[in-house]
Amino acid sequence: MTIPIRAMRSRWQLPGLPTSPTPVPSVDRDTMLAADHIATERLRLGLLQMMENAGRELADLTRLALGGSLAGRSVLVLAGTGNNAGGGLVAARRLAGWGADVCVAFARPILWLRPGPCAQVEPLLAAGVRTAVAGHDRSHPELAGEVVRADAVIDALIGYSLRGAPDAAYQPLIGLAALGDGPVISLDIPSGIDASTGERGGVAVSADITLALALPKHGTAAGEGRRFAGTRYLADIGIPASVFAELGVRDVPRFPDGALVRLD
Amino acid sequence: MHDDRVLRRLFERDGGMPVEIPTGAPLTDAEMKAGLLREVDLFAGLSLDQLREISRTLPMTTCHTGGLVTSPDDDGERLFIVKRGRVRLYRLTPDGKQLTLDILDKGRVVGRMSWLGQELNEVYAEAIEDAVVCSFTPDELRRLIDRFPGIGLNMIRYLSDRLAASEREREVMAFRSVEQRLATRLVELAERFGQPDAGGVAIDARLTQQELADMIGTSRETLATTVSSLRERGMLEMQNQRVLIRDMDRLRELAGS
Repeated sequence: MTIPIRAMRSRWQLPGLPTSPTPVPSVDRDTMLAADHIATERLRLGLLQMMENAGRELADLTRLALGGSLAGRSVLVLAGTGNNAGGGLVAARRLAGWGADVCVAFARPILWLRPGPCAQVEPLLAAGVRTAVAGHDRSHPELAGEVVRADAVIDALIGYSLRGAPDAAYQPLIGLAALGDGPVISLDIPSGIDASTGERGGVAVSADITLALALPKHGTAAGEGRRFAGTRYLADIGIPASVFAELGVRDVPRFPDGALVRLD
Repeated sequence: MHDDRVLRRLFERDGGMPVEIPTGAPLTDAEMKAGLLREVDLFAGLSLDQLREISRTLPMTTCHTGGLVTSPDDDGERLFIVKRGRVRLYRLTPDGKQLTLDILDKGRVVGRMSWLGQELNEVYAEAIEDAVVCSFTPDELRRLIDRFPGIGLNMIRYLSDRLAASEREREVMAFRSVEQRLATRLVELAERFGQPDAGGVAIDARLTQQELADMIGTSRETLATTVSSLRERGMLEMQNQRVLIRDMDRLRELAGS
């Protein structure tokens, strides 16, 4: 199967965002899992707190990718069931609050979502975001039309935990992601790419922009992941640098110029 | 499966209602929270004869594809068990569109029954394949429990699972860690059952790690990690189902934080 790699990547050098003055280290799946564990269990940084930070930065980056204003713009968010989806759902709510027309397409019924992302659904509806479970509330062809009409697509289907190929329920949405002309923005890692190796076990989202959370994942700089990630940005979601230092990761960026930095 | 063959023979001989033992993955926290139990939660552990008797008691109806099994407009409380086919559960969003909450297959239960915490308000259930459902009212369920007390015990087990799921949910919402919940529970236990002991306060409640994990709604593995972390920090010892709290003040502080 040939996966089209989208052209005009260089367009996504977003103005106003600094590049990191020092090289930024990357982490594999296990290191990121351990960092998340320390942050939530020992430091008691709430999952929802970090999710809100991630979603807020993702919304900000999306606004910049759309030229700085959301008036009259539409965004489609593809959401899975895990915490990656949670960040996408926060972004959907924030973007709607800032004036965009936002639609969320879920890969699975709502009660399949983990507690964190599930808790995002009620506020999402209250914010006026349109929602549909793919294949149940709206067909995949209908959602393909939505992708084509959208000014930007956010990929929050699968996060850094994926090993192997995405589940069958995700594949059609992954296939739809890049149908439009607007930017495709993947949260943390393009869905379908292995965060540790950059390998693609099946279909994967070909992103224009990948917004890494806390630290970039190895998989966006290795193997096929490098091509699929597009232009990489990094968001601070509030995990202290000492957490990564404890795990042997040095030179964690400090974000002196803002919570978003460009990596490429 | 062996059980299926036995049941099929029973069904063929009696010409009665089919009896099926449902299977499936454990419910997710969100499903628990929404109060979606399974037939197996209700009828686990009953003998084949008992299951056969129950299946004769409960009326079965067929709901054709596209038909509503239940909707917010229905009067009264009634639970429905999906015996065959598939049922889609959905709610309406503020803009009047359907949002699918779950797809229920064989053995899943939907409906309203307040004393079971089944309060899926404003939820529609639509057959997406011709479905056979059986249903019962609160009175009918009470009569079943009178006849088969095991169903009552199953309900208690299910409701305590739901409580644990709801606690896990609250943890996400309120950022209370497993460690804090364990500390809170141990302080409560110490206040009720604690005895002064050399080196601290002993709780001789004969609790296994699994029971303690269940009480605070976490897994045994997570509990074990949390206990070792508290042990390393000199707050407690746990051996042979006996907990010795070495530093009550710090444990209280942790519980209250």
